[in-house]
Amino acid sequence: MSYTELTVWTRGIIMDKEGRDIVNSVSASARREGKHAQAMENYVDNPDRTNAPTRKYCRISDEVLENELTYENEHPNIVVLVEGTMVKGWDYMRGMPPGGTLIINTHYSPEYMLRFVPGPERLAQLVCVDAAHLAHHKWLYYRLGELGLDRLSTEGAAERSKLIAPDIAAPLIAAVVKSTGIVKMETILPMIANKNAFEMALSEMKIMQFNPVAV
Amino acid sequence: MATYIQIDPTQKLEPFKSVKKLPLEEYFTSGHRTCQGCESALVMKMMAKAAGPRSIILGSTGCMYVANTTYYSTSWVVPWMHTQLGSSGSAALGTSAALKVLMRKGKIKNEPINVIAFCGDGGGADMGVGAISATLTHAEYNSLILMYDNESYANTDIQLSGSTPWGANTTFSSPGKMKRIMHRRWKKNMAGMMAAGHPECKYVATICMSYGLHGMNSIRKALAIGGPTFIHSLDPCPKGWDYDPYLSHEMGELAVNSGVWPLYEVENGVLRLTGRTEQIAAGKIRRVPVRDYLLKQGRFAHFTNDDIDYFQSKVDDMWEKWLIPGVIPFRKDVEADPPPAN
Amino acid sequence: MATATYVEEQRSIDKTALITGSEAIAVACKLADVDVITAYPIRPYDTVMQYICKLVANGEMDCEYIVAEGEHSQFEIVKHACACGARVFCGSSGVGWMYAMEALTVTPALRIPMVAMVGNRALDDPGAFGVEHNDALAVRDLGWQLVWVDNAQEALDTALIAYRVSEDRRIFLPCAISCDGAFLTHSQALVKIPSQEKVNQFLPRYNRADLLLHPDNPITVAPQGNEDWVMEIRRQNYAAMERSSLVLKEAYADFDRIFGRSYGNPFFEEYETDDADIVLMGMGTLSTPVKVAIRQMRKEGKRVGFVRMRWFRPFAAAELAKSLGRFQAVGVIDRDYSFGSPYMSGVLTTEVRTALYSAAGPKPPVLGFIAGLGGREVTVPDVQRVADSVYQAADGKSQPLTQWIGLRE
Ligand SMILES: Cc1ncc(C[n+]2csc(CCOP(=O)(O)OP(=O)(O)O)c2C)c(N)n1
Ligand code: SF4
Ligand SMILES: [Mg+2]
Repeated sequence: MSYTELTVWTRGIIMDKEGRDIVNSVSASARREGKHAQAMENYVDNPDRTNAPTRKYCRISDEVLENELTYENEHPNIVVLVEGTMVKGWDYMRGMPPGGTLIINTHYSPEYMLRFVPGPERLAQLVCVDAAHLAHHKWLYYRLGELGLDRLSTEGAAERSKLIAPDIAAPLIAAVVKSTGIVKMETILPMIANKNAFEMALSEMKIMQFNPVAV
Repeated sequence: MATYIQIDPTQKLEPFKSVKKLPLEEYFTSGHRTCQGCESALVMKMMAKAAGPRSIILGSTGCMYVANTTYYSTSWVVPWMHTQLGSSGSAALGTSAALKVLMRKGKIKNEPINVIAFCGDGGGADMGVGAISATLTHAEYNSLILMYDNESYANTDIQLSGSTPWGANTTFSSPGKMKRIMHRRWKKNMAGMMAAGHPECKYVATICMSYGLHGMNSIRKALAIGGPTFIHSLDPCPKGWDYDPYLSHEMGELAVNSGVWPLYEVENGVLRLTGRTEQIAAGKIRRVPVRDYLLKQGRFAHFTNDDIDYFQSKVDDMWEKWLIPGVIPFRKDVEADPPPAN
Repeated sequence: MATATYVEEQRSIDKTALITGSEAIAVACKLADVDVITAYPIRPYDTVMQYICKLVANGEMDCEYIVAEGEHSQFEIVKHACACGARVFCGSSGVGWMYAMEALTVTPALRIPMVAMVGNRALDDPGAFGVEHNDALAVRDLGWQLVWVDNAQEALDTALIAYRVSEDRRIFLPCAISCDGAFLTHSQALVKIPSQEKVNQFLPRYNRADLLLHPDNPITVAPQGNEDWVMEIRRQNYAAMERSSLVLKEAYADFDRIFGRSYGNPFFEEYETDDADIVLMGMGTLSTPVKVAIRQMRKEGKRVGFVRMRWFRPFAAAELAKSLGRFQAVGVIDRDYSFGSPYMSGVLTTEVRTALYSAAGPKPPVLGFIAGLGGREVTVPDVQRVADSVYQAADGKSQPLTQWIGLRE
């Protein structure tokens, strides 16, 4: 049986929708491929607050999910950091089994980012993708706040944009799918609004491979 | 004449002379998870600093409860207690009454202790207005009720309150295809209402923490004057107002300079316009058009020019037609009594 | 033995006064040196606040007497005062009690030992002044200790016991004393008022200890919790309520020792049960017509007894089940309703059935009767009709599980 957990760490309000788009699109694709999948947000991180960390979860299994009502992903195989500076300050690696994947939105290289990762021995790969750049949000490096794309959409009830992944979520989804093969490229691509950024990320993402060990 | 009201002594809180002379001690510290650029959190910090360590602070449900006091990681150094959403008035009254009687009976040491109850605009201007009003009539209980007004029910994800400006986009008033303006109520004049309606209340003020020293000194005055007092603080909220957090300070300044948020205090029944508002009233500076204020905020992004004009005209009314500009909304008879030409 | 108790009782008595149930509780507040009291008008409980007002005005009592602007504030004000170490008193009736519901919810959760009086009153609509027990019962799951008294003396004594138990650091839960509207709140009886000195001996000062809200003890009260800790917090309240039975017993024993007045079993009063075939049950002033009816029925040779529930929370299930096991059938008269409940019975009936279900001993059939709603009098013939039906059940004849008594034809 194959069972995979994907946990997305993002920042409240300014990138909340991005995080939600990643788990929603991956789980929708998995379901289309006939798997059992679930996407949900961390309930107590909400209502989210500007720049405060919030978590989004996705679970995919060949069989019926038995932990649908568990609040958190306890053993994430894949972790995505939607904003690069989140690499410091939280133990987002907690519970990751050996062989996991960490994906970071950053213009730095995996070699550079590795030094900040807690417990990196478990990783099979560290992926860096400059999602903001690829989605043409070049100024974002300087002003986090300018990412404020959809402030009022928190908790997803009244999203201003019905589009899935119109910007930085698209390259990150590409990185998730390409590096882990969690779902097929053909199933997920039609959902993505920013296909250009998605496709560019497939070639531009930087992957560093390791031999994972158990800790 | 006999004294009917026994007001206990309060702490001597001289005004702070300048920002550089502020004490370094913090009584609201780390541990919270409010938004980056949250002005309400700044109000909490300044309020605690202004009040000092011999204080009890009560807070009603809202962002300043939920985001500030996660179990096991409180940000409060002074004693703090949660009160229900509409109970800030009752919390101030009950706490102050207990201190008064316990000291009188010698059950605790006799010393002045500041009592502050804060509430949001939802908890204060909507749900708790009755209890606040009642407390302001209990002249013998020393307390300060501070209403931090982020102009929405912010904690529950930005819903409109009686204190939300006309037309604003909130999650309960989001514009749609048929209706652009879903929120058609004008903001309550809370401080004016409290000042006009409670003659025994010795101090009512409006503040904005973009003018931090002014805000802190208002708080100190409110605590030192004795009896129940009320302060209404306008707090830019990057999440609810939808702007970049680095603009918070500027947003507060614009609110004051556009005349949307007049700063004043009513001390022992005497009204005084303060800060920039005083200068505007004296004609020393001109009001900035509200357009400059509104269009910086995503919650007004759906406004048309007509909407902005309407908003401007209401603010102009407030300055030109109100009996006391910015404070008391009774109309003076403009035609019969034109303002002196000078 | 009997003489010794009599002498003891005499010494502790300041005076005997003809007062109502409400006034008796006001006197208890004075004796307990309550610090903060909040009032708001609603019949019938508000008579207690009128008496307290007089006591304060006459200088017989020193407290902050605050007239609130609604019951929600009324209960919130004393809640906060109590958190700062003040002994408090409050109260309400009917819809007033319900208006305070949010405050009533958080009070036990915050471990506030408030003592309140409920002058039981029917809930609106239609507006009605008469007694019904649904007001106080509305908080039965929240951590309030609930007690029903049936005479003014018991009201005074129970108020003192309530302070003693609630303010015990092992408990720190609020207590509501229910007095039936009109029948108890507004009718006078001779009440022995104990001396201040004895009361001081019985009732220590309220000490908020580690939970005191004061700059010398800068704690944060009620920070936001979730699935991480809330369950442990609930569990602590559960444990406090569990301990309440024990602390109550201690308090009643001390009460007997100091004041020389014994209430026997603290949780329920038994009347003519020694040889009874069947028993009736109820709470509050219902006891008066039931006892009269029992005396008459006994003259006709019917051996009927009565069990009056005093403490509804904590509910002495095991003891009650043991006692009821002695009888052939039980008829519970509810002055309340619980629409849609099991067998459509009243609240007390359902609790009694629950208590019996898990008991080890014999389980007599339990019939539920709904009577006296909206303050309607429960008459002696009403009680006789109830007893007849219970006798039928005792004889094994099928009877409806819930019957309305005293309804217009
Ligand atoms: C009686 C009650 N109703 C509703 C709520 C839900 N609630 C919690 S916080 C909140 C918002 C309060 O808004 P405000 O007072 O303006 O404070 P803010 O969140 O904006 O800081 C609401 C409605 C509650 N806690 N209690
Ligand atoms: S939503 Fe507004 S009030 Fe709440 S934490 Fe964020 S900025 Fe502060
Ligand atoms: Mg608010």
